[in-house]
Amino acid sequence: MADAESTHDDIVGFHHAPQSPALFCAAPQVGSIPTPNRVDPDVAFEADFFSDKLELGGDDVEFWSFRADNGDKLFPGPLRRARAGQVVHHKLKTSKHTHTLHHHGLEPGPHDDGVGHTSFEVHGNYTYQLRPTNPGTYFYHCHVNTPLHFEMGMYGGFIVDPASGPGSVYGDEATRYDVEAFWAFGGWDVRKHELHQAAGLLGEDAGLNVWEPQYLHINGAFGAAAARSRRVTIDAQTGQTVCLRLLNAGYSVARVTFGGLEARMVGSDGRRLTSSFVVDEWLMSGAERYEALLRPTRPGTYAITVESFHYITGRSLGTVTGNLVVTGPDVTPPPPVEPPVETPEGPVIVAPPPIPEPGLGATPPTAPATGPPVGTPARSAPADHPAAHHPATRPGPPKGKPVTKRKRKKALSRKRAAVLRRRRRAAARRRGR
Amino acid sequence: MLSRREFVLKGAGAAFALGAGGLLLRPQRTIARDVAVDLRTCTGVKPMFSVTRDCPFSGFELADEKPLSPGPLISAVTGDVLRIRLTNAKTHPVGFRIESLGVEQIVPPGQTAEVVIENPPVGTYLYFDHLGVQSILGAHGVIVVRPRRDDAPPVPGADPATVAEYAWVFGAYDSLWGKRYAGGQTIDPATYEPDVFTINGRYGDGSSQARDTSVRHQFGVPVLIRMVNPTPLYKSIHFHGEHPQIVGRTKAQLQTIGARKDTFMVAPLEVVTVQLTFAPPVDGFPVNAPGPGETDLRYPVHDHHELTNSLGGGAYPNGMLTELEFKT
Repeated sequence: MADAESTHDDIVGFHHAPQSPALFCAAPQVGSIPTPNRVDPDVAFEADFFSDKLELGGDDVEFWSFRADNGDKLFPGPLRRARAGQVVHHKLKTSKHTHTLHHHGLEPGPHDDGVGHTSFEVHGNYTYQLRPTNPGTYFYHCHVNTPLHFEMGMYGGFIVDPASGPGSVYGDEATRYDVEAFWAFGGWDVRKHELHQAAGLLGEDAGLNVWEPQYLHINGAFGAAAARSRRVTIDAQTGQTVCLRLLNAGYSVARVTFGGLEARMVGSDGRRLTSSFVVDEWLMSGAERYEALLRPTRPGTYAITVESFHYITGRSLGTVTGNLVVTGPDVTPPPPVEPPVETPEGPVIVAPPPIPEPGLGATPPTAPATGPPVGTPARSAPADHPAAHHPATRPGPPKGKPVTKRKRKKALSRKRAAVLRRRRRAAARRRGR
Repeated sequence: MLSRREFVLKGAGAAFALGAGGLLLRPQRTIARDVAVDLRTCTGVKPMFSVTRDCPFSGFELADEKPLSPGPLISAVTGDVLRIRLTNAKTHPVGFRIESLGVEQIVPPGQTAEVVIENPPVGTYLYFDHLGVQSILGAHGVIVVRPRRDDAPPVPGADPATVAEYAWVFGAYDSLWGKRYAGGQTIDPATYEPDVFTINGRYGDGSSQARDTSVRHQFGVPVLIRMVNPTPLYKSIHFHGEHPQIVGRTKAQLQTIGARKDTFMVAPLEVVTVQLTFAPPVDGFPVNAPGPGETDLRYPVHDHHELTNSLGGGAYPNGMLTELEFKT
């Protein structure tokens, strides 16, 4: 009985921890702020803020993002990459309002984590210093008034290659790839794009709890434009391994289907999965990242779709399609290179069948879908963003050694020879009996 | 109906077993016993600081008549007999379902029903009123069943050396719905537009500082967090400074069990359990070098469906977020 009474208070949990002393000045830091423990970097980037307008559905929609190194205005911001172990400097230049850079998934100290309310907001310049340890797919974004600033477009991809360089996601044979693409997908609720950057901060109802995107995109190519955008389209040859790095940059779940191909999911959030798995579609929540390896063996255009769902009702908001264009002759599927499997350390505690798609569970409500689905494809979506070529997604030259016809033929003849040998031995055994 | 005295005496462990929050202590028990819980339906009001309105809710209360949403945390160990009596103090029928335990009852107005669960299996279970929109209005809570042996892991796959456990129950309240419900008006389910987002009923500074939601430990301390999502919204929980390992989940992305992720989905009605190692954050340079004014390393934990970091449509960051602190 004593323990019952004495532990009750502890469990009730209405106690508040002693307030930690204020570690940082909560006010925005104006001007150039020195980076603590600064050293010379191995790689340095700039995140140069800009605002611009994009024509969608006949309206000019304001967005905010970061310039490319050559000054081009990009949405999403420029893809950055470094190798594990390199010291990275990422300098934020904010223009006239306060922002930060949070490198999502990387784990620096709080002063370089770029969260306004636990460190400081930047009004001017600040150079974030990091040294990424784990290869994988990350991204950076502003973490000030995030429901708005992220929606406005202040993000970009960040890839950490293994120390050996690109060509393998995690530096091993099992995650080797020949062609690589990074897709950030999401949607714009244009109503929010009319708000002031500090909207809601004084407690006024700015509607930041609502997300009703009218336009969906992959890498900033909206609606039907995505299917023909060079920022989205992936070119590959039969027999090559394509690494598709996926980022859900929306505020709700989205389902990616891989155009009839099997996708081997090998990693997520900058960590190798304990056991890779194969899917033909995958549901992702906001800010999750996955690396999917695709191995097309037949030529053709594979339509990879991203379907987004309403954050409350689960109804479909529409689908955006990007293409994987595969050329070359049919090839025999290469034997999968199985990564080392580590069984998860225990079974699921309670595991009812997984729900196949977003829904409301057992509890209502289900709002009826009103009107046509939005976002697919935008009627007058521009052919492409003004900054036409996003370096992030242009499938560069294949990395690693391409599989030559001669090698494939050799491998096939070896297989055929093995089959014939087995048949001859079996026949000899039968004759012997 | 048990009297208060009977409740304490017969339901030995009942007080031990109940709490509104989610910080759990390891049980020190070796014999089976009854865990008796007397719940009563109720209504309450959540103040919405920073904005000029309140959010009435539907919830549960104990004998102390303190309205709670989420309802009290019910804690048991395997071998216990868990008796939950629910008195419906409302003027309409209420439901009582325990997800994954096959329990479902409807209690007419003014009546009491009892649910008895003998030897409940180890796990984390959501209880809620499954009728209408009551659960979304706040009528939900969590049951935690842990192994009898102290040296066993709190859930399969977890570190047996886990020294602290937390249960986080997410909430997404629509203050307009709350007002309508409190005023006896009909609620149209299609109008749901939540504007108060909580962990264990708190938001903003409340959930960032509270003992049962904020997680503050030394380096190397194994910590377990059980996340329960009674809302109809998909959550995407993001940890700064840490990649927790998913040791259990019940509905979506089952293939990710065992993975270390900084962001993960928690589907409606799902339970996701994660293990934190409190390993030092690895990507700074120099690693663990404190910044100016830093003594401990504080990071936010929040839903990356960023809408839920607002309160009343603004007031960022006053939604469902909390803090992770590495004590150096």
